[in-house]
Amino acid sequence: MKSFLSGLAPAAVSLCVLCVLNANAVAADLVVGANIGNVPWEFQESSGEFVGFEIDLVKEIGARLGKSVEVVNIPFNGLFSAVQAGRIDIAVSSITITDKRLRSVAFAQPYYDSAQSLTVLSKSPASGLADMRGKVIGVDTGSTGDMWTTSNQARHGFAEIRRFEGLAPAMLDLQSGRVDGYISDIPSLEYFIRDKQHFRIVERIATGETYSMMFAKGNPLVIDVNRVITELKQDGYVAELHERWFSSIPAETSSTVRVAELPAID
Amino acid sequence: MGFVETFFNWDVIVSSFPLLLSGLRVTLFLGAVSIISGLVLGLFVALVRLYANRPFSIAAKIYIDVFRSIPLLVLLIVVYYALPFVGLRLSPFMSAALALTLVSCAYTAEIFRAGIEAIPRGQFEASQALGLSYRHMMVDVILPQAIRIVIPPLTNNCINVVKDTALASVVAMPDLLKQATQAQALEANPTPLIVAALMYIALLWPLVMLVGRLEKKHRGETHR
Repeated sequence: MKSFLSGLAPAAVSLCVLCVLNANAVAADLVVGANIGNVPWEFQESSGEFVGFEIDLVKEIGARLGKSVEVVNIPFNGLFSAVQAGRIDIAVSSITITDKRLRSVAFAQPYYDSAQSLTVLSKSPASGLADMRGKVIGVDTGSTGDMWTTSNQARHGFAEIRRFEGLAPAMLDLQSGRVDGYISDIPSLEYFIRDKQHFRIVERIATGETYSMMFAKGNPLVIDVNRVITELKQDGYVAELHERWFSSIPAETSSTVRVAELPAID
Repeated sequence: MGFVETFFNWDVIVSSFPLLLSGLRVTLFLGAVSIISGLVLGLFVALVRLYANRPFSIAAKIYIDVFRSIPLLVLLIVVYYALPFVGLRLSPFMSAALALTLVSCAYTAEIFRAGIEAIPRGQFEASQALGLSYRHMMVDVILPQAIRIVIPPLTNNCINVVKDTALASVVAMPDLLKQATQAQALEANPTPLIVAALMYIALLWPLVMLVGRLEKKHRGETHR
């Protein structure tokens, strides 16, 4: 018995060490990075559970591929290096497909047509972009709102662009008056301010952008996921998600309903 | 994508370089402002702590202890996001400079105190015996020697302040780290982060070597 125990002890110790070392490696089949707090795409309920349009979508895709899914919280501008470094398999965060991004990463077919928006305090006299001349604009670092605002800064005469790590800190600064307007994706803002009377969206900025899931370049997973998205569109599952999270039925011509090609650089 | 293409992508370096340079300028300016104001205030606080009346001396000690205990990132977030609720709304630059200065000042004060206390008591007594005023004793006798002693630790503190400027990126400051994360997201490539890291190293390595040099020199002098 003694020799049995003395043989067991080192084995147990090494097993523990292995467990500790592998704590991160024993992850799900698909590790999904998401910028939690990006309503209604991916955010945390008071119970601590991650929920949202893209969380539902990616979980359904995992289920149909027969793979377990684990969602990890990564700030938006960190998602790009996270997929490239292989720390996550899929990135979701209402990520816009752009040619520049396609040079370094891969995207599945789009599932949402979006636009930018200008949000101000309700008590502000501003009624659109024209009133933002000489004003300070907030954006999310590296987002399409950032790109649009930067390339249109001269045209609209914005005094300064402040770059935030996401919606919550930017809205805090809008509230405290450090920034005069916040330019970001319209669906998130519409969802965020639906119960907040002191903010209002004063302009929709058409950019023709579409959202999808992002993968490392050359990752074959994109093909499988893309196939499942086609199925989910045909089943009406994606349209159902649209109804659940935006309380409206998507247009027949929108990328939420219509099956699309894998995005490639023009 | 290969290693070089991912981490040292030349096209990305070229297109993000102007952004990174503008970030470097902000980092340098923020570092310089915080270091200089931290030095001046730190010397003042050290003198108050050592020679002022008891209530002031205790206040200086409490200040030093509190600001050496508080994490800089926490202080920065409090200054930036909490002070507006009491009507004090500082710009990102002012918030970052204030937080960095408050902490740097506390460390600088401790360094100066240690330096002054390292001067043998006999020199204070000799100065007094010669009839030197307090100001002359400090400016002509004590501080010139104390400053020699404190230069290596002060330089170390400067290095820390410059490194800590990177924390200012959380309050929407367009510093070097912020510009690098922005460029990284715009290009969807981590090269700008690597370039920023190299810029920090290029900036601080000479200072790190200088500290080593000064410490060696100082050791030589005291052992003579």
